[in-house]
Amino acid sequence: MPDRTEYISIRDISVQFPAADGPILALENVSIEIYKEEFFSIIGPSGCGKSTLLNLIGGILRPSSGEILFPGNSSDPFIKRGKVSYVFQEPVLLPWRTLLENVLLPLEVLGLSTSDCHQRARDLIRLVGLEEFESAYPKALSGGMKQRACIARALVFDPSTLLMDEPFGALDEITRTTMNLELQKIWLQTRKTVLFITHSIQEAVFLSDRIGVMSPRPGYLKTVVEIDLPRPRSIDTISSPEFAAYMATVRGHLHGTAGVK
Amino acid sequence: MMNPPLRQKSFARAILEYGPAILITICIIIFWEVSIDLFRIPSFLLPKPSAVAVQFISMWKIVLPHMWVTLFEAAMGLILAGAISIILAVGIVHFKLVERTVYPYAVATKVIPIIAVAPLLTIWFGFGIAPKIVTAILVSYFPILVNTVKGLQSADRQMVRLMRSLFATKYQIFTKISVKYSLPYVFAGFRISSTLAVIGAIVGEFVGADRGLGFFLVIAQSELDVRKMFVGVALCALLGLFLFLLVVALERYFLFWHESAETSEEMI
Repeated sequence: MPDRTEYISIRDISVQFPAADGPILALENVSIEIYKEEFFSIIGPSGCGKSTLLNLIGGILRPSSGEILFPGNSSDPFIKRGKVSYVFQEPVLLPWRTLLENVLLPLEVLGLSTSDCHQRARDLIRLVGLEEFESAYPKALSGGMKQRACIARALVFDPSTLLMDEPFGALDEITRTTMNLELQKIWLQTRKTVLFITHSIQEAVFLSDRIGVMSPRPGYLKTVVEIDLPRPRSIDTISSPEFAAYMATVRGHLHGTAGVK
Repeated sequence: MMNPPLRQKSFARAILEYGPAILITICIIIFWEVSIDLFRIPSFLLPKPSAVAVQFISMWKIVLPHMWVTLFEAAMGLILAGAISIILAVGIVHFKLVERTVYPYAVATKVIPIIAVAPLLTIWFGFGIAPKIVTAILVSYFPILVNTVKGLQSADRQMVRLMRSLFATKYQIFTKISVKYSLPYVFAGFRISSTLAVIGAIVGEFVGADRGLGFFLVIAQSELDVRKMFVGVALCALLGLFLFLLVVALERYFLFWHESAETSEEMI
């Protein structure tokens, strides 16, 4: 279980987007405390502003009101440089670079290329199980393999926080379950603070310490469900009655039969 | 290292790929050869392909230097058109002001028929190769410009988002992402322009020259020598084909990673 040190503090955030017929409210008064080294999932219907929330934390977007505080009570996104890393739904790799060169890209951008960075990249490629494909080009990799490569790339500069935007949403069910197991293993080994966005209740319950349930647009945080299942969780965990109970709870909150504002 | 089965496979694929075109060409040439006698077409209107070949063999020492001149003009025109277009495209993509000032002129110069300005260029630049290079540039820069602009705007959005999340500078996003993503478009532009550059060079030579395939054609026409004219036309075609294939070869080399590149021998 994670320690309960506040890590990222999202305070009363609202986001408005300008549109032709008046501004659209994407997020409304969202407040979340994210703890250090915890796995926090955000689940909600399409268009509820989950990705917007992630972009706020990543510093790509500024909130219309409210604030986000990072370690050291700082709200300056430039301090986060090299602290936060993304994994997107589409596993985008540069097609003209080998897997290893793709994993090294963030270090080049951040100006952190050092003599031992190749070794670090290779270690991460082994961690995600792609050591045989180090010098392969992306077009030779399957969707699941590409997403593993993206996870290795996201970890290469040793960020403290991983922002994952429906990373397995485009994968088939079987690959997805495998990737969930893999991600748990990687997370247990690296102990990053993970913010994970998903549409899948099973995925959220399987991976998370806590799950934030969002409402439809305008998105607000309905409730936070704590998942108290022992780790490492396995395939058997999924078929346990406790797991089913957690899934029912989350589903209940999502569909408004419990805890409605 | 070449292993025999793979080599055989690629040979089989080459036959499948180029075989039909070669076959059709041979058929057309045979039909042409035979129909001249068959339909009694006078040779001063349409010579036999064999007669054209004989004509070429008898005068290759005279005609090839003309071809080198035209090749040089077309190639220089294409290279300079590429350089100018790419510089303009980078400006257009990054500065609204450049887009607003340069683009209308780029379109306007494209609209003026090259044949209309060629005489003017001869007056300005003389009878040497300079005006031919200019006409080659003028006909061939537009496809490269338009495609490069499009290409530089076609970087993968998720990749750009990722770079932004790493607080990459504009320069880093441009050099590491946009430039490479633009290459397939740039090459598509060069493909079109490679054949246009030859046209530009020849039009330039038509207007006033003392060498080059265009000059050769004008002389042959004044002599009403259809066989010579066919030699000139065939060499023009070869020249265009050569530049085109050169671009394709460069494209295959630089875009080995692109989906359009043949992935492997599995395809057959």
